[in-house]
Amino acid sequence: MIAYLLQITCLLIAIFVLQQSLEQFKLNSLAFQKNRPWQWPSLRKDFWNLPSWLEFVFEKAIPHPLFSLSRVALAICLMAVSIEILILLPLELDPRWLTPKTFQSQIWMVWFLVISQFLLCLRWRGNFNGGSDHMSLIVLITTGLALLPMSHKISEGAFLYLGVQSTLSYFISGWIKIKKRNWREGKALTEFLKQSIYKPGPLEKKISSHSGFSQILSWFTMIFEMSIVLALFFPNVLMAYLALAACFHLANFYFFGLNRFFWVWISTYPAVIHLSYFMTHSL
Amino acid sequence: MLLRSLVPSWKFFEDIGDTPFLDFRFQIGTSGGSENKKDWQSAHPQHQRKLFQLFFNPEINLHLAERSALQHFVQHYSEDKNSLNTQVSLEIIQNIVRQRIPLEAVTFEFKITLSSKQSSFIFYQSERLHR
Repeated sequence: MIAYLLQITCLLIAIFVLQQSLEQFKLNSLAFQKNRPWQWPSLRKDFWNLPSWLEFVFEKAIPHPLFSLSRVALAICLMAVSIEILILLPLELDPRWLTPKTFQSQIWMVWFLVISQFLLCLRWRGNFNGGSDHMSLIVLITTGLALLPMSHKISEGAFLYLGVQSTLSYFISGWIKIKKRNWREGKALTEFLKQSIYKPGPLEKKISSHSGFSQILSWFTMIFEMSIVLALFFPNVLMAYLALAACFHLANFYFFGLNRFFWVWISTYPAVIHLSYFMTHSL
Repeated sequence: MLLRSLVPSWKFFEDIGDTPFLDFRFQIGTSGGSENKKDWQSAHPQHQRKLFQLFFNPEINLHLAERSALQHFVQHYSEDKNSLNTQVSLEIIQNIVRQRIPLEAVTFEFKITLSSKQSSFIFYQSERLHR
C-alpha cells in the first residue's frame, strides 16, 4: 500500500511544484529584480562569507527564468513518471519491470526539487509563504528519503514522519487556539478577517457583525483541527475528515488568499492515510 | 533554517496581538510647498479575490510576504536596533515603500504603527529619504 500512496504523493508534489514555479516566474520580476524589495544588493549583507559560486546562484541563477523553467520541466516529468507507475503497479507486473531506471529517475527529480526548494527559501531570506514553505520542504525531503532504495524501515519511517507532521500541523494549530480566550469568544476570528488581504465580502461582513456566528465558526475550527488525532483511529472517518480538511484550506484561500497551503497540504494526505493504516494495523 | 523547516511550530493564527501597519508619504519636487507634499497613505491595499488565484496568485502572495517582512522588522528592531538582521529588514521595508511611490517623487517617509483592538502607537518613523 505504501508504494501507491508514495506515488500519489509524488504526483501531488509535482502539482504543487508546478503551481509554485509558475508563480515564481512572475515573482522574479516583482521581487528579485533591481529596486524591488528582495533585490540581491539589499539581502547580501545577510550572507557574509558566501563562496562566489553560491553568490552567483542567489544573485543570478535563481532569479533567472531558466531556474523556474527547470522546476516546471521537472514537475511535468515527475507527474508523467508517477502516473506511469500508478497505472502499471495495479497490473501486478513483476515489480522489477519498473526498476531501476524509472524509480531512479524519480529519486533524482525529487532530490533536485529538494535542493532547489531549499535554495529558493534561502533567497527569500528564510521563507516566502510561511508554513507552506516549511511543509513543502518536509514533503519533498521525506518523500525523497522514502523513495531511496534503502531499507524498508527507513522508507516507512520517513513517510510516517510526514504523516505525523501533517497531523501535528492541524492538532497544534487547534490546541494553541483553544487556550486563547479571544478564540473561544470568537473575537480572534473577526479580527483576523478584518486584517485580510482581500476586501471583505458579504460572508466576512456577516461573520463580523454576528458575534454568535463568529463564535460557532471559531469552535468548529478548533474542534475540527484537534479531532484529527481521533480520526486517525477510524480509516473511513479519516477519509471524510481529509475531504473536509481540503475544504478548510479552500476556505483559508477564500478568506486570506492562502492558495499555496491548499496544494501543499493535500500532498501530505496520502502520508496521513498511511499513518492511520500503520496505527490501526501495526500497533 | 532546515531544522526549523523540518520541525516547525505549526502555530497558525495563534492570537491577535499588535499588528504592524506600514504607511508612507512622499514629496514631489524640492520646493517643500504643501501642494507637493502628499498625505499619509497605507501600503496595504485590500484586493478583490478571483477564483483563478487558487492556481496562480503571485501578487497576493507577495503582499503577504511584505506583511511578514514588516513583522520580522518589528521583531528584529525590538531585539536589537543596530543588528545586521534589523538593517536588512529595514532595507526591505524601504524597498517596499520605494516601489509604492510614483517616479516623480523626490523624497519619502514611512512609519510603522503597531495596532491592537485597544490602542495604536507609532513603533518606527523613518527620516526623510531620497528616492
